[in-house]
Amino acid sequence: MSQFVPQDICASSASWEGVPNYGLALECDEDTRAAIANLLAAQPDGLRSLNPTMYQPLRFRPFAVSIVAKAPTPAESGDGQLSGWAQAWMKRMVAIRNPADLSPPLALPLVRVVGHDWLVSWAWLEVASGRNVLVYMGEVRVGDTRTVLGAYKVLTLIQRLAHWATVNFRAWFDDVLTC
Amino acid sequence: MSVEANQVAMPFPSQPFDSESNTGSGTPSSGTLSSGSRSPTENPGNLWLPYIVYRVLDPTELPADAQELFRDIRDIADGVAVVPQNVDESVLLQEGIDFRPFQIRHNGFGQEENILKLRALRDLVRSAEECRIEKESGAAWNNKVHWPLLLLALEGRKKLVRSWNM
Repeated sequence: MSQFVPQDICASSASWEGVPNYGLALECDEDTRAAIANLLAAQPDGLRSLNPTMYQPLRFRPFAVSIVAKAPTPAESGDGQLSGWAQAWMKRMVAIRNPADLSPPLALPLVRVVGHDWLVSWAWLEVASGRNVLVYMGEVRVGDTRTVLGAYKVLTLIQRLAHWATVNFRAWFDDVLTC
Repeated sequence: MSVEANQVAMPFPSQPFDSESNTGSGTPSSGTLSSGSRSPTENPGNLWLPYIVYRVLDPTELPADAQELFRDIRDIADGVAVVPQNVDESVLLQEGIDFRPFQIRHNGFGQEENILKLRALRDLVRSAEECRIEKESGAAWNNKVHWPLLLLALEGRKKLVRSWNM
């Protein structure tokens, strides 16, 4: 049965704590799906996925927003899981795009949910002291599920992130496909 | 803040993604992505991983492409434009929302839909409090609170973007 277990491309990485619990991924039209399939056809076996996971539904869907959710226990924060995922995602994007494209990938918003609280961080690639680094910058406490007003904030946050995914992220990803 | 400023956490060998690094460090290792075609023969084990640097939030350091989203998220955190426009103030008061005009949001839904969403949110808030009191597992929080909240938020957007539960 092991072939049915989601395979994570970066499972050997020391920072890898697995895929996020949730995420927002773009739905693509037929032309885009064909372009993605073409892009991935050039990848080695076992790496034919846009995202750093071989989980089938996410192999051909651009994963825009990652959400890690944890129960409110001191043992779990989700920071390492999110930063490790972002690190692996950046690696995938650089691996699959045209090597002539030297610009860093888009800065990613990352969502961490700890019990009631919803927090947003960002991750991006930059050069620091001559070294390529993934910067993980946190974080804004946006809303919570303690009150209806807090939940309205969370609802609005998710919708704003979905808007960002469908407008900003899609435009950037279309460039990746066409470059 | 849960992260420490400028702490380098992961000592992965770094490889270039930009021209500056391509020319900066002598002979590239076998993991360097070569220019030219997207080669299927590259060894996946050689693909680089960048170091991770944790920083505390400083909006001035965010890349330009993140600035607009950051400002909007900060506004949401402050409660700006988060409450639907056509829910009666008395109903909001019953839910403990001390309504302020800057909180109004024109979301395009009718009053009935917005009331239904308000009730759904109220139920989720109750479920979340139950999870907290009972010290339920992360899986329980996910099933009872986080996943339903995601689905509620993305109603009507499924053709463009979908949430995935992994």
